[in-house]
Amino acid sequence: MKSFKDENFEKLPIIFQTIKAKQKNDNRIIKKEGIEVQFYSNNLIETSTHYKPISKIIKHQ
Amino acid sequence: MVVLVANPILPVITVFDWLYWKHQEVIFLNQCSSISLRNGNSKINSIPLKKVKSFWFYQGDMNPIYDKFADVGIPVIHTLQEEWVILRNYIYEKLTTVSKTISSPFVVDKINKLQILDLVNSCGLKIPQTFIVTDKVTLYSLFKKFQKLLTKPINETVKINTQDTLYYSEAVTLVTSKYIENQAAYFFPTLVQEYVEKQYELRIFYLENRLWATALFTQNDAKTRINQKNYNQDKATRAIPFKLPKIIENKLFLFFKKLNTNTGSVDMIVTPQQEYVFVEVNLNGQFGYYSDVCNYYVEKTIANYLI
Repeated sequence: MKSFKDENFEKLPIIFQTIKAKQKNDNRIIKKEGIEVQFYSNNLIETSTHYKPISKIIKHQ
Repeated sequence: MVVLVANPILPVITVFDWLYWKHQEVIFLNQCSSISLRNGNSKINSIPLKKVKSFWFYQGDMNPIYDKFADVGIPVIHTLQEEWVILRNYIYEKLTTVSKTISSPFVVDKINKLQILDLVNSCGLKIPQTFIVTDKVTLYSLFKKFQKLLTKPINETVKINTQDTLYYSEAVTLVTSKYIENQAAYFFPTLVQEYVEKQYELRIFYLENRLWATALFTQNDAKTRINQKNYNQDKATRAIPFKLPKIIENKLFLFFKKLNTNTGSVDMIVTPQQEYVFVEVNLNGQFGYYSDVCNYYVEKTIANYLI
């Protein structure tokens, strides 16, 4: 994608002038008790399933 | 059985832990791997819907595992997504009518920032003067009139994902003369608001006719003055429990009643003149941090409600 500095930039809402770019990096993924958990730098986690094992995993981090 | 469709972030896990402590069976339904809908015997992921006694919808959504179907191609996936929305809504309708619920996917789906401002106004709460502008001349005249203007997206913060880069905007920013100069004579509809001077900000969590308010002294730090969410990692914003005036509480109760939801998080500003100004509502708003610093134990209250 272009860096939002093409000829149409000035036609976008003003908030687009604050756009920043962040390179994606691999987030840590672990598998535990059959559940895949993805950890992000902001302490969020994402999981395909659910409950008690996640609670355990968080407490063990 | 308690069903959660929720992002398993820390406050959600704390609610889960309270439920677990109280010997409740709790199921997350964020991903649907198997669905069987039959009269009186519907099951999702082998869970009988008739056993569900409460349902919490928070910062997540129920999704089929699309990865399983990735090889059918993007246009087909789009068709499957349209199919899925009908099924998803049917399941949510079942969950929200047969059980005690917190939040409604249907209210969250249709939330509209502009309609919310109208609704807030109708409840007697003050809002910042808000404009949608599409041309530079009008924008300049508002800039001259108010001296300080804010702009924010009409919907959500801009996030554009490419293969290797995430482009993202500020959630809110001050409109500067340089920003205005950079705009074309006519541009895409843009939301601008008068800047309201703050003495402090309020974060208010609402659940079933109860409010928990926290005052944030965002004006003590240049980084958080415009947007408290620009956290200063070195120095946390001072946050204390806050008792809302009864008149503001009653107006907020009326607002949530009109919005037809039993939960939500409201941001307000208290001006140096002690006026209470509504900024925004988030039906999936955060409460964990404020519950923690103010010793509110909101997670325990949520768990008790779900039992």
